[in-house]
Amino acid sequence: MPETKPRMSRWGDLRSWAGAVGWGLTGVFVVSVVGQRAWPIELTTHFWPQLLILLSVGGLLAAAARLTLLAGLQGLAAVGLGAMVLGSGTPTGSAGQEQAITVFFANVERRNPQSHSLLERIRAADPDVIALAETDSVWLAALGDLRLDYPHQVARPRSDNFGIALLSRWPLEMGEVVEGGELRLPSIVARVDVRGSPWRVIVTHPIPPATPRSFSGRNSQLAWVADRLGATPMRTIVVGDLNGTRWSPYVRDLTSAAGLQPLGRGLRSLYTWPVGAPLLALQLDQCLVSHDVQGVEYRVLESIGSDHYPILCRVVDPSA
Amino acid sequence: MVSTRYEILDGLPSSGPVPRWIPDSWRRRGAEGVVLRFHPQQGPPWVGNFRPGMTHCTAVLPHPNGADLFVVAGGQPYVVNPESGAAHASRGVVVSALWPIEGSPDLLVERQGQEFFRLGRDGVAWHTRRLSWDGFEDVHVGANRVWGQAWSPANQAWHPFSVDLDTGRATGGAPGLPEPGHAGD
Repeated sequence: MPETKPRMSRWGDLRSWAGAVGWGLTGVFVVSVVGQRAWPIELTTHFWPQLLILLSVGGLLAAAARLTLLAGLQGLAAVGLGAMVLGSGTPTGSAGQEQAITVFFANVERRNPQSHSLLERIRAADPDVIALAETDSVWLAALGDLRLDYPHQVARPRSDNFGIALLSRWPLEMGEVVEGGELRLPSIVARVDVRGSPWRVIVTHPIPPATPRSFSGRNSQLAWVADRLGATPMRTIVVGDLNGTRWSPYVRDLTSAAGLQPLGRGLRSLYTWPVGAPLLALQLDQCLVSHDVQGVEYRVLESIGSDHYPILCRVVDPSA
Repeated sequence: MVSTRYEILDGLPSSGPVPRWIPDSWRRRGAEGVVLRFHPQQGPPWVGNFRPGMTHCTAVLPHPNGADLFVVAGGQPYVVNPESGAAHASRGVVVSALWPIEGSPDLLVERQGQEFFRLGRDGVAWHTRRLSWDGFEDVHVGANRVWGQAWSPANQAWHPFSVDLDTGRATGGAPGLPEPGHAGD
């Protein structure tokens, strides 16, 4: 009589799948944490919220499959990652509005022709300061009579993706385009006098870390921002498409060296790019504020036709 | 300032009013160009299918006259009145880039990577002579002048130029260029 191989039970299927996926996820977690300063492993740190969800689900599956060791490891990894992901970011709350500043930031995507959508968002938000990235001369021209409402401007239009602009309703005590970092890409450093109260605003857009050279270029630009801020302590807002999330060690270097904290907490605040692909959600567009100020609002706004969502942040100085 | 809302559509809409082909003679081709839907303050929305030009420059800007829109569809410029639906193509003009002019609603337009003109309330205010064989670099627009580098293939080099924004009078530019071009309509 021929010997028949027993069929694998559903239980066996679950165990093997839960094991394979679980060990894979745990491995990704370990590599991501241990090798986070190296390219391209650093790219995985941007996906820690997604990894947290996967580890949590994987841990439950492993527990259901009675893979005790794996379930424990995934649980520990999820707890550690959860503390970093869910605990990061400054919650926003209400405060007196007298010494507030509202900053709108958008990476417009240079080839995006939907300038009207941007103008609608800006008019609805009514910010004190508008900061824009990827602005070429056509984009600056498309701002039309918005330039009359925001007469204080610093801009460096470029025909590549690194044009940058700042428009303010309030006078600029100082405003300049500075080329910082290894790749000498432009950032804007400005001091805005809002109702007699000075605020330092930096707008920056480093290169995406797609290659080792651009990885180094981005990191050097973030380090340059930290150096620039370190010189004089002052109420500060850094906005921009940082091409890195708050979990990147290089963004964390910037926030710790310059005494900044990222605004926004909660899943929606963590999704500014890429529009239309929420499973890959990253918060590349950030508002970092100095510890002496308080975030009142951080909002991701509706699409303007760009691959990035615009953001709006409102900050007050509680001591004023 | 024209406050008409518009949208740039992904393509020709499959429902609603029949789009207008702009220019009308382009209808024969039945092709899809840059498609815009206008929402005039009075009257129903209308869709225009604009024949594109040969560059990547696509934009919808307020015309300096305050009533019309300056539509650039792949480099081909049109002056469009969203309320009346009137649309005029500027023949022989290919827009490569645009700049705002400080303190003015006027636009500085780079034509075909060769020269500049200033678009004002009443149309083309001035037009420079030809300044480059093929493209400009490091263009800066100040309060009174525009300056940058113009390309010459003869010596494979960039040559500085400067243009007075009030008069269009130019200095410098690439050497050995043919006689000046002409402004579009």
